[in-house]
Amino acid sequence: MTTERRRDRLGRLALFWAVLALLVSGCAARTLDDLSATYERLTIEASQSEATRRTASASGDSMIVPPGANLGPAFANISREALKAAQNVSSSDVETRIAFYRLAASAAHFALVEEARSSPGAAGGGAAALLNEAQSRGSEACAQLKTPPQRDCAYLAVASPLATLAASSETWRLLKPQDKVTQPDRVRAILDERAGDADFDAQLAGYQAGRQKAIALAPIGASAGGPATAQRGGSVMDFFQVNDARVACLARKRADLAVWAANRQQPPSRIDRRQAGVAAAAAEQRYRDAYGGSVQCGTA
Amino acid sequence: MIVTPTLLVFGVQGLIKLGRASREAYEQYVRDRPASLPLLGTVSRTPVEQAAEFFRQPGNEAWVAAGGTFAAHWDADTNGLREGIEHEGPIVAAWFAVCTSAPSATPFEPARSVAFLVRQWEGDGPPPPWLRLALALADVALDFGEASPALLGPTGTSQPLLETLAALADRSRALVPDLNDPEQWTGDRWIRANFAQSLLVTVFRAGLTTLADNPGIVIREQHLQPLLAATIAPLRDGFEKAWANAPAGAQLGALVRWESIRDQWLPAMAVGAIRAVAQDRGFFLGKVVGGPGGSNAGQLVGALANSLLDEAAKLGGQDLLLRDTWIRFWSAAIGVIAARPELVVPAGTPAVHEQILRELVKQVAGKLTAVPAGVNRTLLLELAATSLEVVNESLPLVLRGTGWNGVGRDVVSRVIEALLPVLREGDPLLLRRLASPAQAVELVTVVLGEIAASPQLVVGGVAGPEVSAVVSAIAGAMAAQGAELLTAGGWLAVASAAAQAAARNPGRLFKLEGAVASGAGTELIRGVLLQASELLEAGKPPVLSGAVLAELLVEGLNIVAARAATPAQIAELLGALRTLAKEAASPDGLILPGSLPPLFARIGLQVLAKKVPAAATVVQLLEGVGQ
Repeated sequence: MTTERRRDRLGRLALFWAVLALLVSGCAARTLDDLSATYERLTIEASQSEATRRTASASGDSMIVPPGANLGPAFANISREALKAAQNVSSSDVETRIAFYRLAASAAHFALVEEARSSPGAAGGGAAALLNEAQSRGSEACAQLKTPPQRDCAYLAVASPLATLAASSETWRLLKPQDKVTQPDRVRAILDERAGDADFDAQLAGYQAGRQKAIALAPIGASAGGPATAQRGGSVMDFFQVNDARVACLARKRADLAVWAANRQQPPSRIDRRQAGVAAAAAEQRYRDAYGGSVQCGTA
Repeated sequence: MIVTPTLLVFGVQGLIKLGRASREAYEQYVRDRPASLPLLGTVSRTPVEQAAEFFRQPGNEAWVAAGGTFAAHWDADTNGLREGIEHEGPIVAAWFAVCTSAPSATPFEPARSVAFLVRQWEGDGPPPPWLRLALALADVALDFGEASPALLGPTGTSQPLLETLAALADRSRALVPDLNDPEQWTGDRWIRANFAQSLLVTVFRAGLTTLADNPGIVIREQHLQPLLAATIAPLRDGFEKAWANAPAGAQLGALVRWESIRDQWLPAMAVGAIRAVAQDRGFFLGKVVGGPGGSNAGQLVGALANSLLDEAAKLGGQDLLLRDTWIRFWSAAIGVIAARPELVVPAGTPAVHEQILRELVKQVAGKLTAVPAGVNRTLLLELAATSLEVVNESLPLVLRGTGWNGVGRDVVSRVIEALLPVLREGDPLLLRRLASPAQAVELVTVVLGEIAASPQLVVGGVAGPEVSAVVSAIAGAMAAQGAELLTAGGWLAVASAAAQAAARNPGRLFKLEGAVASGAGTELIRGVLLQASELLEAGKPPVLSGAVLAELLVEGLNIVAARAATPAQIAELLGALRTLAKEAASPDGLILPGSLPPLFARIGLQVLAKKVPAAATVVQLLEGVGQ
């Protein structure tokens, strides 16, 4: 084989790797399509991680909340990229900018929840700042339109209080206290830290206010009937219905935990058990008023 | 509207002409398609909590309402248990008792996911499937519009690619669901349809990249269609199978996994396919391998793609270098199939061919899996890919079309086996002698190039053993005492000479006995290296080193290739060399070190011809060649 042929072959080898590198780098373009696809994939992984946590929580020590997948940084990165991309959208294309802000906010939501899970009690990391920026800029953009996109603007109206409520409940929503293995003061400490009376009331109020704003922005209406069970392709109202039910379940869970802890130790307590129970009953009543059915919170 | 490939092509072209408006239409579609929004987390329930919840449900409230059986345990204001541990046990016991008689009343919430897929607008349906596909393809094309305007448009070089994809989308229901049937693109079916669509879009992007980077490439739809269909189909089928077999709740995991395989493998596989079409269009005009009833190009490529994706599924997403090397192996194999399919698939039926191609990939994968920890697998695979390419390039054209008996497969396997012992990490002797892994590739290129160019080796079916023997001999010598006295370039020259000598004397100079290299060529190389090492250890000037050593080995191999030599004669040759080398190492000797190689070439032939005794003095040796 001549030297020229060898050189030619090695040259083609180099070209192959160059084309491959170009293809790989070409896949990294941060369009709405690309970012959305990555985000959707991550939410699927997050769902699977949640299912694993629930299974472990159901079978193991009630005080141990198993960790989730380490997806927080990936979600935060999508949020950052979406905020950056939103700045590059033409000023006349407000709807696309809003879509980027919606994506930034929803990705930041997951990052914020994971921060709360991995370092409970720690000061908020970068996810809160991303969420706030996405919500404020997104809401501004929504206000510019006479007919704002229903889903995106409704979600942006409620994004921040929804994420705050989700983050604050992350450390205790899967607790299953048992008499023999669980210390009541630990349960109480977790609740006090993340869901003390004033904080939790403010979070509930924030969620309600955001929800009202969302409904005012986008005439989504309310339909009678039981909780939605469809997990794919629901309407904006289905989304709120599921979250409204879960808000009521969180309030009830907090009240139940507070009563359980109080029944096993002497006061003083920083949570007013009665007030917690009344708040839960009110949330359940709001749900019944809106949808005409009762709240079901699951079995395990 | 009935969708046809022509309509789809016109649609995409029209959208490309619209430029920005088209892109906006695509953005609008992306913006408004269902998106997942986060949900609050669900809660876990203890038996006490489940019992309380049960009694809050409509129809069960009477149990705890005023006057009810369990009213004493219930607080109407908070709609929950009364405070005090004494209420928990009775209410749980009551719950169990009631549930036993009415189990269907047990509370249950099926919605446990962390996100909810939400539509943007109520009432408006999505665009029809064909328009969504056209929008997605046009969006890809617009990425190339500014940089490579000649690519696009009715006479652009991308036209055959677009026509191919349009035809695949419309005619082949096995790849993409019916574009005329929106029902196939909604609900749970949407995920599968969207995945299939994404395969076409991925191939379009990869194809445009290839055409933009290689303006000279000419392709035709009729060549490309079977090949791309065969490349895409295994991915589509793999996903469909994974989706169908996944247990409830794990289907989306299958989607994630196959999207990852798609993104990591399909672009480069498509590039390999398109380049193969460009290099040998004749093959893809329907040429059949193995006579009537044999395989066509699509069947062969499909079988290869299937095997490759089997390996992809095992590899996971971690070892990127090995993945890229597998893709290079794919390109090399496609190139061989395009140019000389007989190299890898001898005569037979499609089923036989499919089996053979599966075995080719399995064989290589099996060897990679079986190698001990620490062996550089990526380099081995790279060498396998190189072997395929070199065999393809070097085989004599005059023999094209005759029975190759799958010599390509044989050679690939033997190269890996021969090099395994010297590629162990921690003792990578081969790499220690060479400047870089790329030189290991070149070493194989050199050896294969020479041997594969010999018709008698190929037709006689002994190319594989000969390659094994030469590669083993060279690799073994590179790990032997004295090998460090030769440069990397020198080793490549020696390898080339050894391969040439082997090609001229099949089965004579280099042999393999078990895993041990033997034969006159092997003995000569070993002996020369040993002498070089001994000379150095004796404190003599290193006259047998570097370029002189390389030339000596080359001349020695030329001698043994020119005349049959017994082991005893090799020993005589080495004896003569020892005499000459000692003289050259002497400061006032009769021989200059630089003249050793040509002198050895002439004297060696005299020794083998028994015209000069091996035990002769240096003066006698020189007189024997007239000096």
